[in-house]
Order: sequence, then C-alpha cells, then structure tokens
Amino acid sequence: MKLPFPLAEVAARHSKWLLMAGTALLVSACSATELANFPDTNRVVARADYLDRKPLPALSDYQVAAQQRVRNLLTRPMTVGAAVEIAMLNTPHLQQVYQSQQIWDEDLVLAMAEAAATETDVNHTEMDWTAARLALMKSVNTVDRFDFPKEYFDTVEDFVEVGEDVRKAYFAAVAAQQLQNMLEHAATATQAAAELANAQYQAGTANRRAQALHHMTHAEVVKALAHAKLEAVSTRETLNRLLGLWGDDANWTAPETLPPLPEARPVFDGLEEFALERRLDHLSERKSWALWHSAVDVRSEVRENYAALQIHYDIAKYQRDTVLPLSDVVLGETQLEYNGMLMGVYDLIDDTRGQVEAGREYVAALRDYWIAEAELVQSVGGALPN
Amino acid sequence: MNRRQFFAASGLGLAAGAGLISRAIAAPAEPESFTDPATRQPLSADGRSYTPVVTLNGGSLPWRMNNGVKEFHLVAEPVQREFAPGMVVNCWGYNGSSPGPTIEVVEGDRVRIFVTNKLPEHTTIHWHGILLPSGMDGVGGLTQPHIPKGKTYVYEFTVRHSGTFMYHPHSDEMVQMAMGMMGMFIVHPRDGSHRVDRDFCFLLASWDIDPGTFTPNTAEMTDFNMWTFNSRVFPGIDPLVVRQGDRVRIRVGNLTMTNHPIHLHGYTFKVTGTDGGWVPPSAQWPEVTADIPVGAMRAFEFVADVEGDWAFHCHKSHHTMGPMGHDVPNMIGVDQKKATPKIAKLLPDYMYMPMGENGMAEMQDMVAMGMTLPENTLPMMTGEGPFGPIEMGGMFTVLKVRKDVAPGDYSDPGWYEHPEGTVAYEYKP
Ligand SMILES: [Cu+2]
Repeated sequence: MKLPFPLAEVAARHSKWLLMAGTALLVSACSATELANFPDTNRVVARADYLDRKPLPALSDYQVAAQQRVRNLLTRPMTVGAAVEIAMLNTPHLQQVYQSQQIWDEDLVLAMAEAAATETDVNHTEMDWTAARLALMKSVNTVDRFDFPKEYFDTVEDFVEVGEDVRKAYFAAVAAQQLQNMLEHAATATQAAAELANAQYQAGTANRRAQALHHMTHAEVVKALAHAKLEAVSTRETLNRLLGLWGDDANWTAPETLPPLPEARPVFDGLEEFALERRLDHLSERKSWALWHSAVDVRSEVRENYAALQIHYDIAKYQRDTVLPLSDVVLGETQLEYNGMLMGVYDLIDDTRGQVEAGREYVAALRDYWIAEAELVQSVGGALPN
Repeated sequence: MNRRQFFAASGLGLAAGAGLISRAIAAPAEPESFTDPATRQPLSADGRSYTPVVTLNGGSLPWRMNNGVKEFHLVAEPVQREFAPGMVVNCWGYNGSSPGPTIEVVEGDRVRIFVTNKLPEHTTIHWHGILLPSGMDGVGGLTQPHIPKGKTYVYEFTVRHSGTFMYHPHSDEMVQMAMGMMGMFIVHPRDGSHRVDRDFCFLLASWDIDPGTFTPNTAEMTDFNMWTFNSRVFPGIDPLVVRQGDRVRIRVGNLTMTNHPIHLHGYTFKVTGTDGGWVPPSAQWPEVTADIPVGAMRAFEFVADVEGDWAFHCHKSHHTMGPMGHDVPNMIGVDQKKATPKIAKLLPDYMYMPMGENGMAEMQDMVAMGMTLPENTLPMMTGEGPFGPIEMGGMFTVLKVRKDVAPGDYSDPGWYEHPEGTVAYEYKP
C-alpha cells in the first residue's frame, strides 16, 4: 500500500503517544492515526536507526550539493516537478528545518534527486512530500526536540504549503509567457491592419479618420501586450523568489506550453473523508476542542476546491473542444467570403484575432485548471487518492 | 373530390348559393408542375391569331376549356429554385416554380383561375393591370378574404383588353414577393394585331440572400445582393434565341424596389406596350435602354436584322454582378506588400492573397485557381465566353441572332462565329 501521506512512517513511531492522547472520539473519528494504518513500522524504525548513526555533515556540503542539483535541473526547460524540488532545496525556511534537524547534508539532496527520478507523472509531483518525509525520517534522533505533534504537524504543513505555492506560481508563470507569445500574434495582425490603413490613406481610398481608427486598435493591442509582458515578468519573479533563484540561475527557460488537459474529467469518491484523515492542520487541531469546527471547515474547503477543479476542467474542455473549433469555423468561413470579395481583409484580420483570443482563453482556462488542482491537492492534505 | 366537397373546401358554397356565380364548377385540373428551370417551348402557334410567348427559364400554364371558360390551376407553395448552377434558393412560388408559370389568354376570354394555397400562411393573387370586377382584384381584406392555408379560391372574369400584365400576392405582400411569388399574365389581341415572330417575357426580382444561406431575407428594403430575370442569374439565364429578320418583342415586368434600365446591344427598339396596354405609334421613340419603373411593365420591339451575340442586361452595373460585399474596403491602388507577409504568416493554412489593388477582375482568377466560396454562393463575377471570362452575374443574358435558326427553334446555337475581320484586334505596329 502506497501512503501518499509521508508522515505515516514517522508518525508510526509515535503511535504510542497518539493512542494515549486520543480520546475515544478522536480515535474513532480518524482511522489514519490507528496503528494498523501505519504498516512497515519495523522497516521504518530499522532504516531510521541506520540513518541515525551517520555523522552530521558540514553545512557547506549541503549548499554545494543543492546548488549543483539546482543547476543541473535548470539546464532543461522547467517542469513543475523540478520547480518543487528546487523549492525544497532552496527555500530558506525549509533549509532552517534541515539545519535545525541536523540533516543539512548532501545525502538529503541526493535522496531527493533519487526520489524525483522515480516520479512518473511530472504534472503530479510529490516532491514536497518526499522532502518532508526525508526530513522527518532523518531527524528521528532529534524528534524529541519537536513539540510533538503540534510543531511536527506545522513543520510538515510548511512543506506542503511551499509545494502548493510553487505549483501555483509555476503554472501562472508558464501560462503568462504563453499568453504573451499568443498576444504577439494579435499585435502582428493589428500591425498589418494599420499598415494597410496607411497604404489605403496613401492611395486615397481611406480617410485619416479610418486610418487613425486602425492605429487606435493596434495601440490597444500594443498596450495589452505590454501588460501581458508585465504579467509574464511578475509571475516568473514570484516563482524565482519561491525557488530562491538569482543571477544566471534566474534565466531558466519555461516550456512553451502548459501541460495538456488530462483525458478524463477528475472524479474522486469520498474526498472529504480522505482529507479528514490526512489534513495536518486538522490533525493538530485534534489536540484542542476545536475539532468539530475544524472538520466542518475541512469538508467545506474540500467540496469547494473539488467543485472548482471539475468546473475548471469543464471550462477548459469546453473552450478547447467547442469554442476553439467554433472560432476555426468563423475564420474558415471568413476566408471563403474573402475569396469571393464578400468580406474584406480587415474582417480576415479581425477573425484571426478572434481565433487568437479563443486560444488565449483556453490557455487561461488550462492554467486555472492546474492551479485548482494544486489547491485541491493541498486541501485534501497533500495528494489526491489514486 | 365531389362537387359538394369542393364547395366546402373552397368556401364558395355561400357565393354560389347567393347566385353571384351560379355555374356548376368542376374540380380544378391537376396543377401542372414547373420545377425544371429550362426554358420551355412556347405553346403551339397553330391556328392561333397570335404568337405564344416564350417565358425565360419557365413556361406557360396549360388550361382546360370548360363550357367556354379557360380554366387554370395555380398552387401557391414553397419551391426550390436554382438561380444558376451552384445556388439553390428556398423560395415561395407557384406550381413548383418561382416565378409561377405564365398565364396566356386572348382578349375577350372568360377565365377561371383556381388558386390553391399550400403556403404556411394565407395568400391572395392580384391580377396586376387586368381590368376586372373589384371583387376579383385579389387584395386581401379589401376585396376578398385572405385565402387560408389549405383552401382553394376561384377567380373568374372576362379579359377586356390585351397587353402585358402580371400576377402576385396582395397578402403579406412584402414577404411573399421577397420569397419569389410572381408570374406573367399575357393577354393577346383577338384580332391578330401586334403580332411578332418571337415574343419573350420575364420578371425582374431582387433578393437578399446572405452568402452561405439558402433562404431570402424578406425584411430587406434596399440592400439586395441578387438581381434576377425570372429568378435566374447569369450564367443561369437562357439566351434569347432569334432568327435573323424576325420581329421580336421582349416584355419585362419589375417587381423589385428599384428601377432597372434594361439595355440591349446592337439594336434600337421602341417601347410598344406598358401594363396599361399598347403605346400608340405616335408616342413611341427609338431607344436602346428602357427604364422599367417599380411595379411596372414594358414591352419593346425591334427587327433582329443583324446577326451576332448581343449583350442584354440591366445597366445598373451592380445588378449584373453576383453577390458582392458592400462593406469591403476600397483597395484600388493600395500597395499591400508590407502587410501581406504578416497576414500570410498568421494564416499558415490559408492561401492568403491581397485583393483589389488592381481592380476586382483578379477575383475570377482566384476562383479559377480553386479558391472556394461559402456554400450555395455564386461568384461575384463569372461566366466564360469564347474570348475569355465574361465577368458578369445577375441580370445579364445574350440575344443570339442567327440566320440559320429554324422558326420555332429556341435552342442555344452556341457562340457566334464572327466573319473574318469583324472582331476587334490587337494593334501590332
Ligand atoms: Cu437593375
């Protein structure tokens, strides 16, 4: 059984506390905390014991190894998996965790790289969970210094939040660049129209007003393009900050397109219960009498994010499978009418822009889908059920 | 259908009972259908005091004699009309055709016209220009009840004067005429006067049929894009075939919302008739273009003494074009070199060509190169002649005068073979 919940292995070693601390209500409310749900306990303990015996490395080893790994990742167009892994290595706050847990070594970097190599679906990276798992497992000998479990949960929550932020920033940055590139086509179209208007004015077939109107249209697109560039820079720098990148490292290349929309509409059963078992903040709330309130919030948040995921999926699919073909039909028919001199070249240019706009709306919808997925993943506690 | 059923169906029971029209009326004959757009041979001239007319891309409606009354049966119904190969229009018409078949009678005839309404709404028929009792004038609401859908009405009157007339609805008139409901009504003189060798007739109509559509937009008042002779456009309009030396009459009625200067090449002619009757010779003058006012008819005559292929068309040049864009930018003389590569790059799957810089004739080349148009849409300029593209559409056809045409033969003789040295030629120093 694969446990996307990375704390299972670590938590197992504290199950005694969980059993003691848990009231009957708490235990029955969440089966994830029962001993039976944490398999391979012996293996975990054995491995942890082995790791415990390793001497603490010098701080600089980690930094050297991490920088090398980051540089290596930056040689290829950035993937969401690479982005999350870089964040796990570079985020100052997480580095503090490694340092305080005395796992600030190159083995951690290597272990993460190994884990990354085993990930099969680049769009559904679990690098944040991998990092959290590694951090907590390696820190087993110092776990007593956690104010367990509140601090323990909070720490892992930090990993998950960084992961979510990076995913969202990544999809926003890739989409912004793609949207900017597509808007450049629209600017080419309005520039052609403005040039035709100039030629018309020179030939005496359009007046200065008509000429000026075409230039106004072009100016609007030029301004929109500037804003699109601003958005691309801004979203990229947001990601750079999350990834801790600067200098030449900040000049990574983005893929030309977002990951494609999955074939099937995402459908999950029992997502609320799944989340209640896995939400760390919820688990930490168990210590208090705020449990009931927390569960209501968790359930509502999951429902909202799940609905958002499906609706964003539907919008993106509708835009791709219905609206885009419609814009193709419009442009195709305009071309036929242009052939017959029934419509003019400006109509052709306008409908070309219409097609570009429909394409841009698809990119925006696809971006919103991936962001919604990142939000849902976070709200169910780290990973979607299989 | 027996007589009782017929009376019930036609709503005439009451009128018959009142004794106004008390003759026994047999059921109407099966209506003859005119779905083929080819020009029919005229009715036989044998034993007649007149030359039966040739209806361009149509024909005359056969009648049945019933106790000295000429009985016709018109069925108002939705029809499909091919305007020219490549375009079929959902029209309303009569007996399978728009326009309806020509009604041809002789001055003094008693005529009875059964009108069956198979339209989705009521209708009437007004006999434009015919002198008749007010109650037979066909104005819905004013002189008769509208003919409900599914019902048959009877019009009966004695034709008092000869001339060129027409019929059309006077019931939801704008829609029904915009959909193509019209027909010619020709009354020949009883005394054999005004006889010609060939007598052609057709109606002018205008249509608003958006590119890529099949049904006229009936709410249009000014911005029409199809201009037809008998609901046909060039090159779908048959030629007017004439034997050299024939005296020829051409009768034209205008049911559009604008005038049409109908122009004949090669001849002078005189307008000899209107929808009011014959024009006295003292009021005729020679001309080459007859302006046909809105809602009017003109008959003009000439002797076809010169062989050739003579263009015959409306002189409003946009009426001799196929559908054209009225909002396209004026590109005459506009250098499009700079913008062209940009547009071509934006449309990688489309063979973009800048158009209009040197006029519009290049459009024909584009169509010839295989550039396709919206479905059911004819090119703005088309037609291939013996010397190249004719670049026409709409209200354009050819008067073909030949010496070797047999009397009564209206079949297309092909292109004229010009005698040596009679064709314009390139100057070579
Ligand atoms: Cu005209």
